[in-house]
Amino acid sequence: MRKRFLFPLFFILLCSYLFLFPRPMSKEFIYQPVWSRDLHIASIQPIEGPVIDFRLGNFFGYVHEEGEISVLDRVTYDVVMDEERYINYSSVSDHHVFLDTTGQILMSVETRGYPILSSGRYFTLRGDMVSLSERDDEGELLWSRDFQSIITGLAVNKEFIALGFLDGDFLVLNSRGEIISDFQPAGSRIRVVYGVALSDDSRNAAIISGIGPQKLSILEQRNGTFIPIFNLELEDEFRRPVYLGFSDDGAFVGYETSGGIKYLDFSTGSLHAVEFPGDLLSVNFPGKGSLTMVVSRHNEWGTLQIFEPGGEYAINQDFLGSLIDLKRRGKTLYLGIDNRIERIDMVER
Amino acid sequence: MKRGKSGFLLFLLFFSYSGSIIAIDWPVEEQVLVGTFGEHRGDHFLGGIEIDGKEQPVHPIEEGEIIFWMEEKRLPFAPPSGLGSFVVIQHNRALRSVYAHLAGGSLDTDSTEVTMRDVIGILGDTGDTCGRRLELQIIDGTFNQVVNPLLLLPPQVDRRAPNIFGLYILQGSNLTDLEEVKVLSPGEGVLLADIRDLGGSGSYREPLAPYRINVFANGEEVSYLTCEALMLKDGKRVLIQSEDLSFHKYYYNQWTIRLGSLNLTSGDLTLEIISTDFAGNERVKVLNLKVEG
Repeated sequence: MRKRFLFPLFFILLCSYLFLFPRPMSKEFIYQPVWSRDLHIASIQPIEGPVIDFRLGNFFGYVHEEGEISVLDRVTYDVVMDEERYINYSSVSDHHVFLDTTGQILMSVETRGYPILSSGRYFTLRGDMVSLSERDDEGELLWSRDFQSIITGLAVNKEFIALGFLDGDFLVLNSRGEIISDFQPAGSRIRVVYGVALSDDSRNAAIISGIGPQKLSILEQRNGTFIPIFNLELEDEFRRPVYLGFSDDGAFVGYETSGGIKYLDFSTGSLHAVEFPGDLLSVNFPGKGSLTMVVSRHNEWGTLQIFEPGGEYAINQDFLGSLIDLKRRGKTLYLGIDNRIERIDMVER
Repeated sequence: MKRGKSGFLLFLLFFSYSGSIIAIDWPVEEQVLVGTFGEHRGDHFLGGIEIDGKEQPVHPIEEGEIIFWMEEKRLPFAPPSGLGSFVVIQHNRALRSVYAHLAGGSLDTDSTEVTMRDVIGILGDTGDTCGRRLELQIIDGTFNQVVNPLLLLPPQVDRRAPNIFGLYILQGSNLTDLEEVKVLSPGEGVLLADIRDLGGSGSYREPLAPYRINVFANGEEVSYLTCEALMLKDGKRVLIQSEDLSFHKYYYNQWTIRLGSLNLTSGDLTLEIISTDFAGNERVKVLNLKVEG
């Protein structure tokens, strides 16, 4: 009962902090709370228009820019969402039912496995995790293939899909499902891939692999295939999937460490660290000259960090809340904490 | 009786592991086998065995090193896991074991080196599974294969042979039940069999797939199928030692297996089908047919 009152209180305190104590940066912003919605009492207005997807624990939905909740539903087993459609699926499923952002059924696709929606593309990862297929917007099968080993990492852009495997192999497939690049990171005692990434412009791919040592490998696309151009021995040795991602502009690659994340600046070769305790939840990483946002969770506390790569923190704030979601649209943030969603505008001073 | 190529993979495995004493054991105390290697799983072969049972600790089949774990839905950057919460252990001799569908939150994520006494998780129902069961897979890195775990685990008591519930010939789109029709038309036909293994004494829960099937036509072996190992071929997982059959070429439907093609020529035809489970229990069915046309 006490928690119920504590969460809104911390939310208000966070917003007050953002509003009253903005930090100076190369560009100064004021963080201006616009609206706040309590999902327990929010009314559902399934209207069309641009929406922001959110997921808070066992609840998910879409919210409009002005705060109308378009869809609010309970997760069956898991849910995949993009800005136009979602699939709320069960753990054993032979159909994927697509619904739009007003909750209307778009189509039902007969397929077994778990769906993946990414970069406007739709994949199915089979239950045994050794087979992947892609379907078009109508649900028609484009390609399907089995692999030798269990898929342990996956990254998608509009052109390619990169896959990392339990046997240490790394493959890049084109939009026809053909293997255009096959790379086995070498030099580690144990061969496993723990994370893969693809830059939006398809210029680079990255892999975290191996134990003894664990390594970050950067690959570059040349003559239609990806070849390694850089290797970095890592201090950590994760034995689970890890965060690895390029900034939207491809200027940086960020990776998870035991105490936060590090990101490598390709132009200078410099490595920067962002520290936080606990689990990494989300990273919004536009690139050079833009603010990066990192959300993490430690026990019942969340941490929001906003900073310019290589520069100072604009915000480094803890708040009470175990279910957290952060979305960014231009200079607007949509921050979900437990049962509330808040819109915060970054207003340039 | 001619038995073809049986034991080929077993020989390879023995040869591979002969450098050290193998002390592999079952990962749980109560073992009720509810899924066998190569079984029909909707659109793919089961790549391991499934063990039903109560909520119980899961141990490594042999000492080793935890090299990978994934907690169902816990990691936002991980692929969706049909294997639920699972652990992978690296053993000697390039052998890896996978323990899938473990109970949520039960994984030991701190240990790296583990012995057979350690608990790596609790038998659960996470991921794409129809109930509480442990899926155990064994990967042989030397031959790039997923091997039937029963080839390595201590044998279970099982005195019941698989049942052959039906035998059919598919000619074009015509399906002929060989229990009812004894006279066939000449030409190419595909022999189909509905075979279900009702398991060992006291451990029956769900029908299992047979381990090996031999087919003899007029005394000559025409088909040999066995669920020993899976490997990748031309972008599909295939059963090795079974004419490299992919899932859709092996299974006609959930319980009906394609036993191979027959060239039916006029005259008498004696078909002998031997279905064997992993414990070696055999069921033999002999059909005396005529081909006329």
